[in-house]
Amino acid sequence: MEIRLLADSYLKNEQLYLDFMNDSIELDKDYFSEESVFIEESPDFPIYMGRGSEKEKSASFTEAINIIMNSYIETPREIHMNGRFWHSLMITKRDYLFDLYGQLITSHKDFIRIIMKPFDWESYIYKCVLAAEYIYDTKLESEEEKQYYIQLIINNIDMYNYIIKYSIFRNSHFILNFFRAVDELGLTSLMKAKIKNRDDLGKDERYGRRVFLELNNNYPVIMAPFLQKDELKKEIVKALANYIDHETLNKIGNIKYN
Amino acid sequence: MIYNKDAAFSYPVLSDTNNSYTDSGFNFRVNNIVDKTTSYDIFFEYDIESDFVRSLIDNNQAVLILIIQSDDNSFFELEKGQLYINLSKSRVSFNDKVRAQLHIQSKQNISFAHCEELVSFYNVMKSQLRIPQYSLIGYSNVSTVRNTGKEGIALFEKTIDSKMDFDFQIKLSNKTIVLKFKDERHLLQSTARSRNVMNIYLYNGLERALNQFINENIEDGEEGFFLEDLDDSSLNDLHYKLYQLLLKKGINEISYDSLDALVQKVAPSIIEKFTHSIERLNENGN
Repeated sequence: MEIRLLADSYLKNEQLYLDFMNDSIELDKDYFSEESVFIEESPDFPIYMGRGSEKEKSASFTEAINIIMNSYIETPREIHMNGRFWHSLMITKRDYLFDLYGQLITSHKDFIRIIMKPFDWESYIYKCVLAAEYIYDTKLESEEEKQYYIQLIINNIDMYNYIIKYSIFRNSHFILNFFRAVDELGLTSLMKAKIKNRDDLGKDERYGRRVFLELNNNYPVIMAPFLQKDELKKEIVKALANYIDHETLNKIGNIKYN
Repeated sequence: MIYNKDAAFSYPVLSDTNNSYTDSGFNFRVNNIVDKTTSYDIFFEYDIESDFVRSLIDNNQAVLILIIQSDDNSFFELEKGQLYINLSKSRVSFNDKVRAQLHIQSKQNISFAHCEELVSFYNVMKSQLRIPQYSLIGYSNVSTVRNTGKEGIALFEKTIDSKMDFDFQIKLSNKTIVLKFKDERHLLQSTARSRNVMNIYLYNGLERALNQFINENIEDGEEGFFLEDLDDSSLNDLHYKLYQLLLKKGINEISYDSLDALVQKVAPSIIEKFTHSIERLNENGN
């Protein structure tokens, strides 16, 4: 299927927004370029998880990651890691997206925020594409395991956002290993929590982020991205011990700390 | 996970910039990338100058790991003697700069007691030196992997935009000098006159690009610099092409004062190539 790519300046083009809203998009308008890419299939999936209950958000994430994993990530990375491609694809899904999000869009700015969000870690499509790649590349045996990892990422979305900003940890093996280790240690809630009584660390410091900072500082003497799960658990607990005492940690998690 | 800071290690590390070994060297080069439609074959070479470290790998006490960094990091354990790797295009793109490095990592506890290649600093303590599994034993230089396929080496790119305000415009992208024309006819006339006009476009584009190249690589307050002092892995694709071109012409010293001379040295061969391709385009009516 041919997807005509938008022209370079499409983000600034208000006509694109107006035509999207009025269902009058046409290929000869100047927001389109002459370039196309071809993909085998292009099923619909939700692209905005910024509204609704936690349950609804989680369901949208799950649907998006599954569909992207099944239909999009075998394309060359030049295609599926390119924001212009995704935004051009979204234009072909006008009716589907308008039904879902039309009511949320009352300005060009809303249109950018919901449909054309720049393709970086803040974009829901970007997050889902990476998650789909990471899970797919791990070559899991069963469907249950795939779904387990999808839920792990969604339940830890704050930490996941934090990781994908830092290139050192952007690796399939490490990310899945890390979330599984945290889950098995019973530390998911703690990792999301704000650190108490440490004014020296700055506002809004969370245990999970500090753990990454410690792992980052220790690299490459301790090469966290390569560690097997059990070794990684030890490093996570060691990093946490800088911010929380052993007794409390023992009470919270499945940790036998000596 | 490309590593190029020089951290203080509490044990000997083999690298070009670390002085733990008397003959410290770990050199890595990506030689060639072959485009195989849905994947790339990447061919590389390396030299490990330490017998001790080489024997750790031969005896499976340590392993070579290839790290490829584009948007993400991928790492691959290499078999002994492995000198190429196949990467799917669905997981790596050469749109952005790709960097690669080799690491040597311990697979078990390693003792340095019998290593005879360390500098004298370690003489006293080396009998007690032990490192655990997953430690970094050595790291190579970083090699920038650039796609040198057809599109990869083109210096100029031409586009037609009928909605442009001017007949002609030069833009510099990260990869090429982009010549933008309002009308296709500007490109396809092969009369002597239009060929001369075309030469001026190419000349201007080249000058603009070289000027940017100097701008971004000159140190504040300096009048010029030497190509051999540049870290070529930090250059964008366009600047890397200029860098290669200048080196090929035997040029090393770069300054604003020599800009005109630089353009005249590199331009003739480029202009010949470009006009030739335009003429062929014209003949084939494509």
